[in-house]
Amino acid sequence: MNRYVVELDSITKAFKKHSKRHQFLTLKSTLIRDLWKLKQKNTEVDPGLFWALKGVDVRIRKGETIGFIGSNGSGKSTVLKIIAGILKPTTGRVSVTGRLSALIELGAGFHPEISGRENIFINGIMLGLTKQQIREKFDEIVDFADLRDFIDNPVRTYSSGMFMRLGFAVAVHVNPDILLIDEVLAVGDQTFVHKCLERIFDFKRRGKTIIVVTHDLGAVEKLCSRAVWLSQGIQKSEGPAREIIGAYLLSVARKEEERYATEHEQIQEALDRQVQDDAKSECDQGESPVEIIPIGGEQTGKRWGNRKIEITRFRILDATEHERYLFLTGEDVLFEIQYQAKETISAVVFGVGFYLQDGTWCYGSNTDIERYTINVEEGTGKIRIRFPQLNLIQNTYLIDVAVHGVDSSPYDFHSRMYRIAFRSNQGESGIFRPDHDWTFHGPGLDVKQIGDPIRMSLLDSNDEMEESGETK
Amino acid sequence: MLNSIRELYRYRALIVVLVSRDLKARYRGSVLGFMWSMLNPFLMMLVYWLVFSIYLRNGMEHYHVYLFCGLLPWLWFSASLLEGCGSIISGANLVKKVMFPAEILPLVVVISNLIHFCFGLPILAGFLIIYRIIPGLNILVFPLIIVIQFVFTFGLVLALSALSVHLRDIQQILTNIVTLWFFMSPIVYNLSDLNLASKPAILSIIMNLNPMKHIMESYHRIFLQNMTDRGSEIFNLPIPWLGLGAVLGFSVILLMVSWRVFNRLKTGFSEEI
Repeated sequence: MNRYVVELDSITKAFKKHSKRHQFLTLKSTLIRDLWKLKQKNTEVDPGLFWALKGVDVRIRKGETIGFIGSNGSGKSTVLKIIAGILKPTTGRVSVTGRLSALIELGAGFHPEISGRENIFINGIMLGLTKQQIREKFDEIVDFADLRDFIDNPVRTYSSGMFMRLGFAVAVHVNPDILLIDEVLAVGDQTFVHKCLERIFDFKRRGKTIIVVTHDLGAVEKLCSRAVWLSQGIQKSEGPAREIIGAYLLSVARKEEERYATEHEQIQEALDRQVQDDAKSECDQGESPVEIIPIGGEQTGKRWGNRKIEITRFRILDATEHERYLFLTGEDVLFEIQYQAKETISAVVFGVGFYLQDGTWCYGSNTDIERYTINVEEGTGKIRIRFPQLNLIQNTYLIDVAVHGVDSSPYDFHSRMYRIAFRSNQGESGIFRPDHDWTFHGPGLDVKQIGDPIRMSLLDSNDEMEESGETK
Repeated sequence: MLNSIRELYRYRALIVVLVSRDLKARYRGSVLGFMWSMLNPFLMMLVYWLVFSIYLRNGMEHYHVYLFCGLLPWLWFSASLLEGCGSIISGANLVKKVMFPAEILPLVVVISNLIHFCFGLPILAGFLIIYRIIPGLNILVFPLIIVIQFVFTFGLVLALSALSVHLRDIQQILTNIVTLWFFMSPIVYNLSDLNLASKPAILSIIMNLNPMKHIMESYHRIFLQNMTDRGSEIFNLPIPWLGLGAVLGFSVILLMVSWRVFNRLKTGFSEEI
């Protein structure tokens, strides 16, 4: 069990950037390989090369299930193709022991003009089965793909889903020692995906080695014991799947956080500018026009009101009082409204609301509803509202902030001006996550939960997570 | 090269299945199906017969039989070249997604065209029967000539398929080269009618350097050994062993060189296509 079945030894892979001149040069240099070898020392700085992998070291034991994760262009699929032997590494050593089946492109080699039946034989032989073996498994394959009625029709008449199903069905019946899976779990309808997953878990139970490349972190978490995180061709970290996924999600969240922060800052600047403009023109007391404030992308927020009380700043804070824009479902969230009153006003109402981007009103409340009577004196101050456990689920929400009179006279309305994003570690749908528990009662009920959801924390995580992310 | 051949042997099941896929797919959907393998060379023969026998008044007695005898193997050769040249490129989805020796793709093209060639043989046999041209002892050389043409064709296609991945222009120019090659080989005309002896020596040297000349000549002498043209048996000649031997030697060397070229280039296939 201690034998490695796949070994990647400081693998690098460079792709040529395409240009006509270059293409001719490659032909020449490949034919005159020995000359090329002399020049090879310089390849690292060659601007005509794109380094898809910059040193990947992975050892995979028999029976292990390992996932490669990372954003687009991180080199995941390249690693898989190198393991499959389809690409040769530029430098480094690969060794693979055992029969390997790659679910890389399903139905590669299907010929559109000939029937599904014949294609099963061709594809099976391509994947290393003998005719006899295919004959034995033929019915199983057809049933798995659920194509019994169509098996004698030419493959060109198949829908893309049928095509994929047939491809997957053949590939999983090859019975390999090592199974490579690249993003193929996204094919077909839910029933078929479940069938595929079942089959893959079956492989796992039988002690086969499985290597997965996918964006579906949930699948990696369920399937893999170990994960490797690639980022722009660099092996960022490697370790227990849950830990690595956590670290990866965190880094993705950080990037998003940064984006939201910049956007929030820009909105704030736009508002500040307005305040100055207004100060100059001694704001008119009469009609208050609606102003359109761009809040990033195509979206705009609206602002109106007579500005007797002005919202000068709106902040979203986490439990540690740091400004944040991306939260996990159920986190402690604090809104802070900073105001400036130009005169003493009585019966003031402060309110907030959440909306989905399509306009669905998720929640709204104000100080009046909650029976506060507020009188404001001239000067500045701040109002805070705390949500100790904000159970909005994964989405981006728009926020309304307003200050107005009990008689509805508008002082300052900021409508859909700010954004807050939520990420959740479960794939639930809807808007809101009520607290809940499942209980199961019934004869023969067989219930298993595969691990807990990943615990991820965005809280003062700066140092702690980075560390665990970098260690191997 | 021996290792490569051994590797190909290990993949024989795949080769068989790909060839049969090729054959099945080609005429799938057409009414006449496999008949086209026979009809195509026959129709082509009619075209050349019309031009050269009716309009240009070539005087040979059974000219259409002569034509057919040369066209059949030529079609094997030219179709292999034209299809095989792009075989790696058009097999991109296989080369990129499945691990297998890529030389299978050009090989499959040559083999499936060989099979089409074999399908055409009954028509040739029909002609020989109708005109009572009984093959002589030269017929024994037939298997050998197939081997020689096979090695020569495969050697050429192997190199072309690999080179055209990097230099796609090859595919474009090849059509013209094949046409030129066709008229440079004794297929629509009989070599003895050209009177090369009375023309500059260079022409006859070029003609003799063309491997297809020797191959075509052999086919004529194999099948038409006992064909009479105005009383004389013009093809009752010995097999051109010297030329044929030279072609075989050249083909083997060509194949070895091509295989080297192919192996050097094949690591780049999955990136270039």
